[in-house]
Amino acid sequence: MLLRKFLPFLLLSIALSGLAQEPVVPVPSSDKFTLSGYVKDKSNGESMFSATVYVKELGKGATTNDYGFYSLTLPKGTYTVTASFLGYNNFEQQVVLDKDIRLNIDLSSMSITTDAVEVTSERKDRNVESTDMGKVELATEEIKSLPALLGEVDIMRSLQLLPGVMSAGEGNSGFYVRGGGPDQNLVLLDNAVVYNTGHLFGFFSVFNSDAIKSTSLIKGGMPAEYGGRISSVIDVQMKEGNMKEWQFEGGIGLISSRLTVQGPLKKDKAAIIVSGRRTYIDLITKPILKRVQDGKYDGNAYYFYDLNGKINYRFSDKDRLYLSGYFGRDVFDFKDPNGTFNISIPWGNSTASLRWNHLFSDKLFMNITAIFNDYQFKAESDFKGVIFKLSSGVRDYGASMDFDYFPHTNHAVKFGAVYTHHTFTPYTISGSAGDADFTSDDLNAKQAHEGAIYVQDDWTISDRVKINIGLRGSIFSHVGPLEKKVFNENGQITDTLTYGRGENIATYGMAEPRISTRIRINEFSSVKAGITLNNQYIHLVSSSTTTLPTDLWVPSSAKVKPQLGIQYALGYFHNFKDNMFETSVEVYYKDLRNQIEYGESFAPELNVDVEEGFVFGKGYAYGAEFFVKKTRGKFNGWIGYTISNTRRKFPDINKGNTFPAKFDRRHDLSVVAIYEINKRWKLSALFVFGTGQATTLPIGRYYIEGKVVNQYGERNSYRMAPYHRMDLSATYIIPRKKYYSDITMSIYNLYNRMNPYFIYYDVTGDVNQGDIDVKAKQASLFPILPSITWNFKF
Amino acid sequence: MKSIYGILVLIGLLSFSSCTKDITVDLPDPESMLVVEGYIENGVPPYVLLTKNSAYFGGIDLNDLGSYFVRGARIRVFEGNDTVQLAEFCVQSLPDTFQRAFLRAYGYEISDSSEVPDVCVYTIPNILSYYNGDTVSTFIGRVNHTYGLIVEAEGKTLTSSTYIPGVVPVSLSYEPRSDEANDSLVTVNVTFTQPDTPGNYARYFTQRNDESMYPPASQSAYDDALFSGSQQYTFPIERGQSKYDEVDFDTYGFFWKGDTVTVKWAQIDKKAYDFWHTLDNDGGDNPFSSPVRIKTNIEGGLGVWCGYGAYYATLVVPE
Repeated sequence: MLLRKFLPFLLLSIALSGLAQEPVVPVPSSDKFTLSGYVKDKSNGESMFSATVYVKELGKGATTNDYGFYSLTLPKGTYTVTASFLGYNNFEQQVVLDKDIRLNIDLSSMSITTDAVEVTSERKDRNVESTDMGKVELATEEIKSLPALLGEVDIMRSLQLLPGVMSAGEGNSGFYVRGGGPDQNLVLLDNAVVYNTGHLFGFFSVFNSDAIKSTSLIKGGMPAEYGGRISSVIDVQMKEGNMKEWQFEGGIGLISSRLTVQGPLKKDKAAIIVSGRRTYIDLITKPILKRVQDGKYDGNAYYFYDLNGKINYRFSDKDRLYLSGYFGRDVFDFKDPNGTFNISIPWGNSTASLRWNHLFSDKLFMNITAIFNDYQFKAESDFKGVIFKLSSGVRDYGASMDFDYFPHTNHAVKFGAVYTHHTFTPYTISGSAGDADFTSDDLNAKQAHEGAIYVQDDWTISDRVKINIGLRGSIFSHVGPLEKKVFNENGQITDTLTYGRGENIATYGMAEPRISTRIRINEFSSVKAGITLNNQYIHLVSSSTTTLPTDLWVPSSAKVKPQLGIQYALGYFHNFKDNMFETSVEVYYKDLRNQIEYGESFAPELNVDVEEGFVFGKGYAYGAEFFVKKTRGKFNGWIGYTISNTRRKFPDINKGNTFPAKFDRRHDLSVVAIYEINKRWKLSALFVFGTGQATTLPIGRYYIEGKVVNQYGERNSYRMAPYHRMDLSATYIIPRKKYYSDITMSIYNLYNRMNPYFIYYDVTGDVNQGDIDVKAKQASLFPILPSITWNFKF
Repeated sequence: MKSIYGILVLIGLLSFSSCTKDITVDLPDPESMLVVEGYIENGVPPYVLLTKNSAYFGGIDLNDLGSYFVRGARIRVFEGNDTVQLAEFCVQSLPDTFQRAFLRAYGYEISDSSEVPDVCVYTIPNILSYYNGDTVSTFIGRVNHTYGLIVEAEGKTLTSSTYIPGVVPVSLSYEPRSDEANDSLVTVNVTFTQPDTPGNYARYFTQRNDESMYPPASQSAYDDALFSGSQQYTFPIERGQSKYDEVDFDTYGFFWKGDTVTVKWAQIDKKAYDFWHTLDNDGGDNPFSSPVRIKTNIEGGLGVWCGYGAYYATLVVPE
């Protein structure tokens, strides 16, 4: 149906794009040459993506790809080539283009060579110029200037300060994008999917900021190279390692310490970076627990750690190899002092990706990636001799092949293919009680293949009009081995369906067209519009709003259909004062189909396939986002405001009536201000305001066995009090000749606002005594929280 | 799984300073509904407590408690061609000396100092002859039979049906705790043989000495999905206690040496299981759980009509 709607449009566009392969102005091909190369950071050799390379005379330019590569095919001539990147000094060079030229550009960071004097650049209007819609890039350095909860700089939490991005709750690093659920965000770390992005119930993300170079968020107009999620892409790039010199960086904070070592294995050829982080609440509490109450509580511990590592080797300008990995674990041990009950819960992600960049020609760049990722959750408990082992997880391996092709200055083409094999382990339980052993071996792991091919063209039709058109074809197949029991309404097994290894259980496929266009009004303003259609084949259905380690990913199956999202977006972008101020207004409408929730009476059952508890429905979301950013100067920052509405409609929830999604938020405001007083002191502040969270409260009660039973009102019909908070941060750079060192002080929740975390009813008394009393209580999580962190780099 | 959530919540909240305050919430009134709490057990006459739901807030005093009970209802229980219309017995119409004992028989423990609330119970009209030992002419539950229920009150008609599955005999044993600090505590185990085919559900209650019988607080209803075949299983059971008694983690779930332990091991049908299982799992709407709408087997109302295929086992733990 949808495809039919888009097809004529798509065919037309492809036909047009075919025509446009011919140069707009006919020039004999022998008179055209290609200027290509890599843009790198001068100080450490890190490649710089999204840097702009611009040819002054022609008013044309290109943007570097993820690996810092650019390519421009131009008529023979002499040109002034500039390269720019925010926060870096402009590069400018005369180039006589009478043959194909490789021009590698090193950009130097402003803070190093100048005293924060602004250099005006030719092209800092990327937001106005590009076809990207709803795309934001955040450099880690930028994030580090912001106040941080307990001093832990967190890229995921910083993203929540952007319009259209809602925090998943107090202190939570998870988020919702434009009315989409938390599982609808594709989180990539060096191309590998990260399934569970939170440590400690999501209060901290798994990304150690010291190891991260940059983060980009695409909340609308997802290009065809990405897929598999219907809401957004968070593409996190790890640092590559310093190619020039050895460097040590780290910090000591209130709850964790970090250390990063990076340097050249072979100067300008090979570099390595290793970064680690560990919390130490347990190390502090351990000796205390040993002493109190005769060591009754000894053995209780919680900690998490992360390890990031990356090696890259540049064989030549044509070939480069990257190997990157992440390993993180949360470990939680609890022992009841009587030895009645103890539990050990380790969980965490590991990801690895091996990438090979190869340059076939000045116009054709290839990247091949092999990916492995794994999320495992385990719990082992011993309750009065009954041993329970619970585990769940998801494991992927796959490969992708991506090409960047620059046939013409007016075209930047990307195409490629990706394949992933998924293994989902549902909650498998095994254990023993006395002499009896039991296992839930009836629940097999579920296997699935996911594949996609895509092609997209970022096509400059004229100075005014540029379009990004893409098509992604995706296919998903849930395959055996699987044994599935069929139950009747009395819970008795009536049939067992058996699928052999590799046997098809359910297969889905879809053509996913995407298009976005930019129409430039003048030098400082443009209008953009886009339509994106996405399919999502794997799902996270959560019975909670936080990121819990027990979150369970499930594949599409015979019962669970792929989620479908269609987003329509329109935006106006305008820059003022020589691009010092970037402003934008974006509106969106999202049509969501095959959405999944747990049924209203869902209660977890052992040994029953979790998908039996799902119900299906649809949803929609619309909103407007306003953004003003001051990009330069001693005083900079931004204001983002979103007004939005997010609804769901499920036949089996709320009597089939439309209800607000859990993450519906009418108003969402973020104000961020950073002020560099002088070379030594930097201040920053942020303020956030959001409409209260929707929640479902009991409106009535009755008694069963003398206990109060809740009778719930309409789904998400009650609003908690609005959320607002202000944070401050001050950084003092300690004057040192030999190394960099700073002290960062942060205050979270400056005016000690008691923001609602959840509402619960407190029942006291005894119905048998007739003295029952019920009160509504609001639980808050974080009061004013000061923190201090010492950071160093040498 | 729920227990893991619970622990995570606990630790999560302890790790950070959390604070609470009383708030006022403005809620719509719920639609007025009748609530059935009715039981029929093998060898025991059926009884029904018929109440109404109420708006969530406000305390209730003893007089209010009576006002939740629906009077003058026409309630019928039938099995095949056999029908009995239940009669209403209200506490305050009974002799003073009998009132507290009567309430206790139906799960209401009223202290001697408190006034007796006007609680009414619907049961068979000749309940006294049942108490006098007549189980022949009285209407009592029998295993492997299905019992229908029709309740007519306040212009509404509610219907339901429940099945009493065959009993599963259990035996009890105990193990002393090795704990030095609490060497008077014991774990009581239940041993039973699971029927061959899955799809069996059970609910249990425990009684310590002459206290009342309580279901365990954390989870009272179980299905046999994890067990297969007619193997014999031994499990430790959790001592039930009044919900309003403070939980003492040092002794929670255990029995004491010298206790006379009685366990009621009751088989229930799927719909009754769904009711108790959803009731056991409702944790409210908070960041760690979702509200669970209780699955009722009452058409046109709330609550449960529950058949118990009960087996009673007793163990005297030596001093």
